[in-house]
Amino acid sequence: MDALIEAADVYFSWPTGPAVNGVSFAVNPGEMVAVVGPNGAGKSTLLRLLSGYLKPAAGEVRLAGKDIRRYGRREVAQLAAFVPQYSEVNLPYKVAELAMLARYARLGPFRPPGAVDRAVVAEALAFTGVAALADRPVSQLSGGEFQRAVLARALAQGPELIFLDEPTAHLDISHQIQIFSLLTRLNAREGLTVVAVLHDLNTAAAYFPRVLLMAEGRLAADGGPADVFAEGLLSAIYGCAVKTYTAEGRRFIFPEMLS
Amino acid sequence: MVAVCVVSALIGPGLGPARSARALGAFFAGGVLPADEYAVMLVRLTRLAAALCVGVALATAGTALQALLRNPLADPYILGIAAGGGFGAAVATALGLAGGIAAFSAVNVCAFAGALAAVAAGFIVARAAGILSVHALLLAGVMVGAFFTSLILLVLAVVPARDQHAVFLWLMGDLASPDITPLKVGFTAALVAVCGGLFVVLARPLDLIALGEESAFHLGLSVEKFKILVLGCAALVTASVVALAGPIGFVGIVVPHALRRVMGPRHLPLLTAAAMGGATLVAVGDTLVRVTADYLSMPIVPVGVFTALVGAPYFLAILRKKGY
Repeated sequence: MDALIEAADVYFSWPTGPAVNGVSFAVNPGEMVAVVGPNGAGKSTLLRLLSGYLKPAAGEVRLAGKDIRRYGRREVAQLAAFVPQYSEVNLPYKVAELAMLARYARLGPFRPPGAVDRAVVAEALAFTGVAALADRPVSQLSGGEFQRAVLARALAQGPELIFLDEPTAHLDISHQIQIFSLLTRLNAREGLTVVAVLHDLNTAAAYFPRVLLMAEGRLAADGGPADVFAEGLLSAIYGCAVKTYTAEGRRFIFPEMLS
Repeated sequence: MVAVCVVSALIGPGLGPARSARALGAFFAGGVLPADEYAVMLVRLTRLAAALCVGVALATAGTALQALLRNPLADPYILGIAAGGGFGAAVATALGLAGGIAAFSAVNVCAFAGALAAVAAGFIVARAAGILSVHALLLAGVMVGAFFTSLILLVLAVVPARDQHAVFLWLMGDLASPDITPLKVGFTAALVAVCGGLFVVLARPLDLIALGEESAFHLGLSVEKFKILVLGCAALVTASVVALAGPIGFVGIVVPHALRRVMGPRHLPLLTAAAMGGATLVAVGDTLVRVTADYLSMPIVPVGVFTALVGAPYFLAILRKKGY
């Protein structure tokens, strides 16, 4: 099977220093992959390299087998959507308008939306549970509603792959599990490929069959949660003593309390 | 808007409304007019067309820049265009430059060049490694504006009083000047039509860029190219009307801001409404100052003073009511 998104020995530096230092991996269609690691490990930078927003200094990112730089912007947006940690929408677009804007990738600047576009938008709103809010300005939404509206916008692109950068960083635990359950269902039902940067290791362990652990711009581990979330490895990388437990078939990760 | 235009065309000294109406009909039907009626109508309609041009240009450029800079307080002059244009006009006046290009006088040409120079300076500062920072562009624009304003003051300090008055009048933004000829208005209108049309064509990408540059990128927009296109177009159209009539204030900030509350944030309806709203505001303002000056034999109040006197309190009222 051909990889949907692939990093081939990718390097990137910020003016302050190297951020991604020779990373290679491939994600196949239908996978759910979490990218975890300490602050400054290069997770968000890696995600922006994969999505084409940043250009690698060396190496190559391939989307569906082709260098992402050889795609047009709208071609990429038809294949891959991106949910940022925090989106600023400071104009009062309605939820349905926001989702319809995502059809730009298919419609371009001129073509008016047709029946297919309206159907895709309606389905995205329904799936994320914001259909009842369709005519509400996004400025009036709560944090949880807003993030689901942004997810609806991403789904309205009709992507095969969705990148998420800490999509639940500002949400309470109930809204967190709503978002991840949605992603899991999309993955199971539509075969949507998910690549998410996460801080919360327990969420990664609960929802993601594959985990990439990054440290200092490199991949420190790549595998299932049971393999990657090992006490010795996590303790070394995070620089604090980490304990793991397995209960009800799930891996739980805790830092040891400092005394 | 049509009603405003008709009323504006009908009133004024020299010709009463009834004779004006007849003259107006003949003017557009290609009939024969007495020479004096023709002259009065030509002046009046030229001035009206100039007002409409200025209104459309400033309101559409303001709408586009508010989306691009993601700042509801942005206006077309935020990039230093007004001050740059003012400096160009002041220098041309002070040096008594003659000549010009085609229909345009040295003052027009220098104001246009000064306005574009100001934008170019901000653009060069704000662009690094192929990426234009709109945040830096805003800050640079404020500084470039302050710099050119100081240069204007410098010119004013050294020129004779007669030139000072001419520069002041220009800086206030005025449509009464006999320098505003039909040919100039025609050229400006063509440019305004092209740029305004381009903004309307770019309405959907403007919706995207208003969501933030990274979001717009991921939704499929070529963000860097688009920013340069919108900025260049806004600079060109604003510079052209500043060169024609001086910096008429507050149209470009108040009109899009007020209409967004009525029309919603989507740019296709908003730009269309802004074009009409801006044209109407300047036409009404100019007709009022023209008529009061003519009938009450008051000194002429430049239309730029009128729009600022109306626009600023209105804007403050919006701020007070709901914040932005």
